[in-house]
Amino acid sequence: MVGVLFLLANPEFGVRSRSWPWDMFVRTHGSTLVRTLAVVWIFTGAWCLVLAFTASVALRAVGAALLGLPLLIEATSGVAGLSIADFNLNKMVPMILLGGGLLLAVEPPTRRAGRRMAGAGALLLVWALASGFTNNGTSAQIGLFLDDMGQVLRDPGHEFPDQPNHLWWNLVPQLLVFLAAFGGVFALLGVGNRVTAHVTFWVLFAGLCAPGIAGSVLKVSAGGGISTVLTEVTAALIGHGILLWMLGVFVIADLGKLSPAHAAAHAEELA
Amino acid sequence: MSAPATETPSRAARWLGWLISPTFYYLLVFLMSTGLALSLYNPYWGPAAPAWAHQVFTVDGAFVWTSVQAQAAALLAAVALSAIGMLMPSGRGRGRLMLFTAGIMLVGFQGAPAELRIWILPLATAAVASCLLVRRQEASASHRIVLLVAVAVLAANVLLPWPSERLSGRNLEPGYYATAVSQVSLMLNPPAELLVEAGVGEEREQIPISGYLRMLVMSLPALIGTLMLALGVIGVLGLGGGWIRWVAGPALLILVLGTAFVLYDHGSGRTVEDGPEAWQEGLSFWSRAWASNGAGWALLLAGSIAELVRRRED
Repeated sequence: MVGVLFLLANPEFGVRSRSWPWDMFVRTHGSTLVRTLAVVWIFTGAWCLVLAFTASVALRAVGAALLGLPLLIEATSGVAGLSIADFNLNKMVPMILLGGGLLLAVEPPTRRAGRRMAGAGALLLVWALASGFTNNGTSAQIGLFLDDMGQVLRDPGHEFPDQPNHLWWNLVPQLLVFLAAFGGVFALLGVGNRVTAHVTFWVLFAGLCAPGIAGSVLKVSAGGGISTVLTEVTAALIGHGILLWMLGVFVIADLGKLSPAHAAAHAEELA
Repeated sequence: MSAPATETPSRAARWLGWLISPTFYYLLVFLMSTGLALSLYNPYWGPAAPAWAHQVFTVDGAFVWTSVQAQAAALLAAVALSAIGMLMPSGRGRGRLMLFTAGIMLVGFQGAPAELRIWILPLATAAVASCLLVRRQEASASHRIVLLVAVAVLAANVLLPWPSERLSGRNLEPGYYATAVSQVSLMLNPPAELLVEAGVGEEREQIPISGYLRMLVMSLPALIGTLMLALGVIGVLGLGGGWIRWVAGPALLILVLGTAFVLYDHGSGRTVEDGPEAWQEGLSFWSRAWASNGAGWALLLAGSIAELVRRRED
């Protein structure tokens, strides 16, 4: 979280007119909200970094939750300075629940709770995808996705003239998220083990990262320089919410360690 | 011999206890969801409703799926799940189910949370109230963590000013606390132009009681949010006794019912004396309080968190 600010605001990497991260605090015409968010953002990253090496799980989780909540809420308001413009809370919250639940499902003491959480997140995610619409609420996004996937499967070389690189930019990431959602539903039904929970978690993570990776590869193959790649990476980490997703997932995993079931298992292990 | 008699709560106490219980909250959610479904999808009442709720999903015999159908599906799910929630025994299972119901509605009404900040106040108020409703001896280890996080979110909403210009964030509007103070000061000493605008003349003595009531109800979110913040801080410090739940529970209900009244009064623009048509219109606006001002979410959140932060019965 601290490092990505150097990708976002760096006159050497990105747009030449951009300044260094600390310059936003000395500019007189800067936005108060963006400055405040930047402080919360940096402090959250520093908090997690410092407390990652301590045993105080409660302090780390509560602090990260307290600092992360305003970032998550503010992410929906489209603050230009932090480039969190394409953020969809309706999808992000279920994805956090799914990811956090899968991490809990890996640990034996919290397996049941984790499976339930992953299942709830998966069902909400499928519902979010099914109730997302475009064209003034008349075209279901899930229907468009299925149509486009059908065309690609019938004709692997199919091009979408209106949307270049639609396959790698949109369809593959959505497919991975769908697969992860189905994995979450299977976890709810008690199908699978810790290996499948791990695999589902990484499929979800890949779905989140795919647009950034695809964008970087496509930009490089089109002759783009390092600055365009870094812009893509920044957009993925902040704009697509990868960092906030990771923060939410790890807070859930930490809170799981505070559960009575975990404490009982730990006490048994010590005995 | 006298011990059991003193421990058994009176009938009045049991009734009052039921009024601040999750079961009553789910009953209210059920009534509001049913009212909304009836008012939105009713060929006799709704302004543009062609059919009953279950008939909305087909047009000329063919299945259709647009945002209208998605919202209708979410609403019908809320009716069914809140009915199940009313009938289920109290416990964590019911708390999880109701939290899931809140998620279904939140996701289904995708357009509604566009101004999430407006929602955060009733939601954070509900989260604080739900933690305060749990008796101290019933509170689990997670109780204090949830209360602390909810109080922090509420404090940010009540005390901090919000930027009015969303993208630049340069112009700051007063926070909810300042809004509440200014509303109360307006009520106590209304300026002449406000009186003229309200149609009650320039004489202060001429303000009807309903005028004061309306102003009071309009400032309810800010007033009760501020009250709940104070109670929440007391709860975090562990200073509150049994009385705190008897303040927090009714305050939450007043917030929910009060905001519903605002919507009825504001939206319909009519009064009960205007006859049954006004009632139908009023029912529609009152029920929309579910989605448009977060009352349904607040009740679902309050009930489910109160059940989830309770110690396990085993």
